[in-house]
Amino acid sequence: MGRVETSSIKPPVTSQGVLGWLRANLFSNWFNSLLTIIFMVLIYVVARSVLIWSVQEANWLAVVDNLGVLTWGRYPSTEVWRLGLSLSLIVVMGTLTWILWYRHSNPRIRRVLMIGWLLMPFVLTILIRGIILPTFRTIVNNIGYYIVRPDVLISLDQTWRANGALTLAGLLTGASWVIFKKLRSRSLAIVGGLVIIALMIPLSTQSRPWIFGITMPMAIPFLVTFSLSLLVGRAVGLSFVNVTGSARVLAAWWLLSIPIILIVLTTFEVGNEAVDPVEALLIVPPNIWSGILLTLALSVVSIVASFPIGVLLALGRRSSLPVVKGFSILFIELVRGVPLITILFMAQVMLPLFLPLEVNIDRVLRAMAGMTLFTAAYLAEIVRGGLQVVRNEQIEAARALGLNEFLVTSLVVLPQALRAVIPPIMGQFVSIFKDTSLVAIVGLLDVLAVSESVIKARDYLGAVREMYLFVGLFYFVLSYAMSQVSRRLEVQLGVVEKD
Amino acid sequence: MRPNATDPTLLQPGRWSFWRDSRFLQALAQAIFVVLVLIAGRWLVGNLFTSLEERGLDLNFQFLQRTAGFGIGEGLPFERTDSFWRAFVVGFVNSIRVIVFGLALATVLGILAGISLLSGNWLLRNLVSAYVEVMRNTPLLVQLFFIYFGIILKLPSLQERLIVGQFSLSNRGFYFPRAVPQDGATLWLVLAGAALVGGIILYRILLKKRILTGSETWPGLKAGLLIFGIPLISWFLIPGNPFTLEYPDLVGLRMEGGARLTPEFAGILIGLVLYTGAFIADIVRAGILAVPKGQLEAAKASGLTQAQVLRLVILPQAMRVIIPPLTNQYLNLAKNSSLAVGVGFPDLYNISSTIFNQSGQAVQVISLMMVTYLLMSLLISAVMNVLNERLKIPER
Amino acid sequence: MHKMFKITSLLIGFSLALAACAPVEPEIVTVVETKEVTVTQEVQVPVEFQMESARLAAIKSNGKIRCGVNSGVPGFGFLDASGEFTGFDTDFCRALAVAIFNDVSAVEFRPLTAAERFTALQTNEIDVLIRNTTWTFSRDVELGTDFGPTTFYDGQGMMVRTDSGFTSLSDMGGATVCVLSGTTTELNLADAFSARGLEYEPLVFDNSDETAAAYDEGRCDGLTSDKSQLAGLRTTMTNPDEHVILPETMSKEPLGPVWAHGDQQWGDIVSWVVNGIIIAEEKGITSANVAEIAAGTPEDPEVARLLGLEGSFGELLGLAPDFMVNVISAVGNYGEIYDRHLGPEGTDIPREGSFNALWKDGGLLYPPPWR
Repeated sequence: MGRVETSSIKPPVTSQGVLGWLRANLFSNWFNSLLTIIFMVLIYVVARSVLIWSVQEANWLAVVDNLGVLTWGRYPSTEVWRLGLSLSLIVVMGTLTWILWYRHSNPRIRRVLMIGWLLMPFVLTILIRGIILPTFRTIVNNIGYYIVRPDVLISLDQTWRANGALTLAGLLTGASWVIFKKLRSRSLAIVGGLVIIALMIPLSTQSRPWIFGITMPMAIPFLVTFSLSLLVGRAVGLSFVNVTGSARVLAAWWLLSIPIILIVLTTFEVGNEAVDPVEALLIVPPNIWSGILLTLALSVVSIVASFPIGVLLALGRRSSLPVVKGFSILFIELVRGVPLITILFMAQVMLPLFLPLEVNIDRVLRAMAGMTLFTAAYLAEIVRGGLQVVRNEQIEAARALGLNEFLVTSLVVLPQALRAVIPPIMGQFVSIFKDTSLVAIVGLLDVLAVSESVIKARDYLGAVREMYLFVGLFYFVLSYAMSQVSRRLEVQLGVVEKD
Repeated sequence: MRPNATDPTLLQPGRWSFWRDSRFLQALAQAIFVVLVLIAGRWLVGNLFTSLEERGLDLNFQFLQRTAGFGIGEGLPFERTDSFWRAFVVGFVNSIRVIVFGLALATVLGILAGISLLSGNWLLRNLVSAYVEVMRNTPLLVQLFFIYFGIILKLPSLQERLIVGQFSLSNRGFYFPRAVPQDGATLWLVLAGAALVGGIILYRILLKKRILTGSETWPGLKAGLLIFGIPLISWFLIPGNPFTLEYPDLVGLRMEGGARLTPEFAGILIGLVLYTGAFIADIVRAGILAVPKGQLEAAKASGLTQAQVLRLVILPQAMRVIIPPLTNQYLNLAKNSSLAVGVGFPDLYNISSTIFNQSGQAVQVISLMMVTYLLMSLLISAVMNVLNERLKIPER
Repeated sequence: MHKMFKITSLLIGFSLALAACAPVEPEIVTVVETKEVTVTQEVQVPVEFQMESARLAAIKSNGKIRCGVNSGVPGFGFLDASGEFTGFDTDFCRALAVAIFNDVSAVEFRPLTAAERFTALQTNEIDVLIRNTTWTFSRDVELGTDFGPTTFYDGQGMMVRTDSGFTSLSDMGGATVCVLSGTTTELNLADAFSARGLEYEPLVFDNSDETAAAYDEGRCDGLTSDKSQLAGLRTTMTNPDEHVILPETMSKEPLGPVWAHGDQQWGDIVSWVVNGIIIAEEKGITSANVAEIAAGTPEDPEVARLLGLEGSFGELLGLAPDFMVNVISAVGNYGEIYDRHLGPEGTDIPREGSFNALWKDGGLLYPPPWR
């Protein structure tokens, strides 16, 4: 509490008014005076010409008239409200969090907010990309195919849906087996899994070429999928076996899984308008996202997606399993050793060669994948630094309490490690946000590329500086805001900056 | 789950089944991981061969011998009839040029700006901090475009170039006189080199002597005399000047003679230096702040001047904190040099992309390019690691 | 928790029951039958009966045609202020969309760089590439692509400043030339200068916007590209009158639509939509009068065939019988498309006396007869 005491006795005022301040800060010795004069002349010359240019010569209309195109690019103009809605959703959620998080640090409110933020990516994806929903007729009709005409599913190339549903059902059944204690709940869960399996029986008898072109009955991949997800579900369930509320969460998942499974199984078209799923929101594929929308989508997706991968890679690098460790090191060092642009270039021209001819990944998605892997490698190194900060006693104490490895890592190690490295992580996010501009070089229409394209119109010719200044300002405002947030977090969490 | 080591029954061998043995489980997990990676790899490679066959391509590097057929604007001499390989080498050398000059200039700028961030001069401090914030918070590519299209290309044309003596500046580049070696150049260079080496050795010997005996031996003065004296004397002694100056001159449409800094090279260099310099400035600032305040006060108390305090006490200690993040910035600069393509400078990435376009050999060209960048990064890390080792406080 | 499970099992049971009823629902039966008809058709097609193209079926089920275009060449394909692609090439994409769906907006434009375009075609990312692509031997034979009828006869040219005093390529010794990377242009340029024994300095960009900007700022003495593109780029210069295109043509550049090798039926559709658009101009059918002509009984039998009043040409391609009526009324004939984008209101490439005039007027546009 020494601070309070010292602040009560203020130091004597040393500066004497404006003149004193000037003297102390600008003209303290001959060298400083010289510097001040030189820089003042410099500022005058630059500021004057910039002012004259921006008032008299600059064609700011090039920016003003094209704000729409710069923002949403080729997004259909009738659907732009969806972008507005997404933005307002984020703003509302952000403000709510801002207000509620610290003032009422009620765990229930916090939990609701957390769930809201976790749902955000899905809601935004659906809103921006659009969605096809099955109608009731579609569901009935298309489920019928699994039972009576599985051959049609094969000819429509929709059998992957069965695997999707089986994976979800397997995960939930596996988790239920260890988490649910009561016989009735257990048997209900097993019934749930069995229903999905039963649905797939007709399809299982069909054969089609699988990996490496070997034709086999579909029962084999189905069995593999289901048993693998059963095992994974069991493993995950084991980690939560004694956590309070886990049974309730799992039950909620079961309930949630019903619409998900139905959507997964039935959103395919059979060419009959009467029963085909309807476009509830017009699909706007990522390929035509452009402008600021693309820039933000690229950054948000790579930031969100790279985080778990980066943490896994960091854990992998410290793993005691030599294969996992070697793989992580190889990946991290390879990616960190090459420029991002070469990775984007590879994703655009080399990746398609490695995929089957009939598989096409959207160009924007390819860029997202490239940026995600790139960021993940850098994040992994940052997180590894954080992991080194966590003291060994912490881990030993957690183990002594009987936590298993998964819980030790997720409840003790990671929270401490991540807290220590929040500033560099934010720095990395700022950096990836700025790096999205590189997609302009590989031909995607981000805000930079759109700005180059719109000044080709007759009215805005030659407005190069105006456009680049606008784009620069856009990046500056957001990056600066991000770094300010990072500084606040730093102060709040009491983390010392490590440069 | 981990076996509970305190349970005595578990310590007896053979009490648990092998599938509960964590060593077995770890081996199994790794085996599964390897198998999955192999399956994925087999699938990708299988697809690759199908696609290559479909497109009539292969995986060998023979195509590098084929005639390139295009021209390259600057760098080593390159003809239309040269091979793709030669083009690749030209691009590589151009990249190296950008990186080497960029590293040197960015370091100088970064140190100056970093010191300025802690300056007592309010104007300087705030100007530099504005510069650092702007550079750090906008994308390098936008900065490059602005510098190249918004500033360099807006310079006057060659006909209306700005002339100062034999130097001229236009949107075709910066032209300046070039030193042309004459007959005696080799001899003079050898003498100058010998003087430099001799001077450094002399300096070290005299300095050691001064430290040991405490008597003034004027190491700097004597070594300086040797280093500058011999080249100066030999310049006049060697018959005919070892170098003559060649001046640039406008002939028809272009400047002939002299040396030239092209707008593209200048664009990428200025962009990289300003951008990396801002990051280095922050690192230098943090490094200086990391030096304990007592060191500064003690140094001032022993009567060192401001400059001496900085040079002899603060910077050597700050260097230890600075080197690791500085290495990262050096690596970033090397990797960012690939953005030269945005301003049309024929660097490694630019030329590789042209080679890919003209030959269609995606896999080989991209692998070659990535391996080259990887090697450059490894080289820089290795050099910086050596430096870091040498700057460590010696263990006693 | 128990309640939840009861609901769950109830719902599952309910949906299963519904699913079990599914076979009696008529939809499935009809759908399955249509499927089967398609299959049998494929097996037992009579020789003269045209089977439906697999690609066309895929496009129909997509509801859109995916068309690879240029995003930075005024006149041929660029993004306008409303975020729409406009240009000569993009109109041919729209024509195909009208032919298939009778809907101008049923196109998904994929802006592609010169470097990516063939990869996009080979990897089935687009259905057709209409992006000022030159028909060459190696592209046709080696790259697994097929070329349709030429929509524009082009040649590589050189744009210079009027005040530079250049009147031909031979004057340009030592000049700096701006050129786009990844094109045949880059190679032709090297050939042209070495054939004249001249030195030059290339300045290569990855993007046509940047190439043109560097030339406009005076960084280069010349800008080389296809002449048609030069005409378009000239209009984007700060002062178009200060630039002139040299008369020499460094290469032949027939530009046309491209598709992946293998689906000949799809190729036929693309080719004949293009041919039909040219024939329409030859016969004087425009977007304004096509409805009127189609409503009456045209005297010229070829017009009748073109507009689907005679014969079953549309059905042979797997399209509506009157698909050309829709195409012409939506996008117009060749002359209209040309005037809209390349005429005086557009980038102003003179058509009269050029290769792109109709054969009747001394040009090279000589479409095969519609019969």
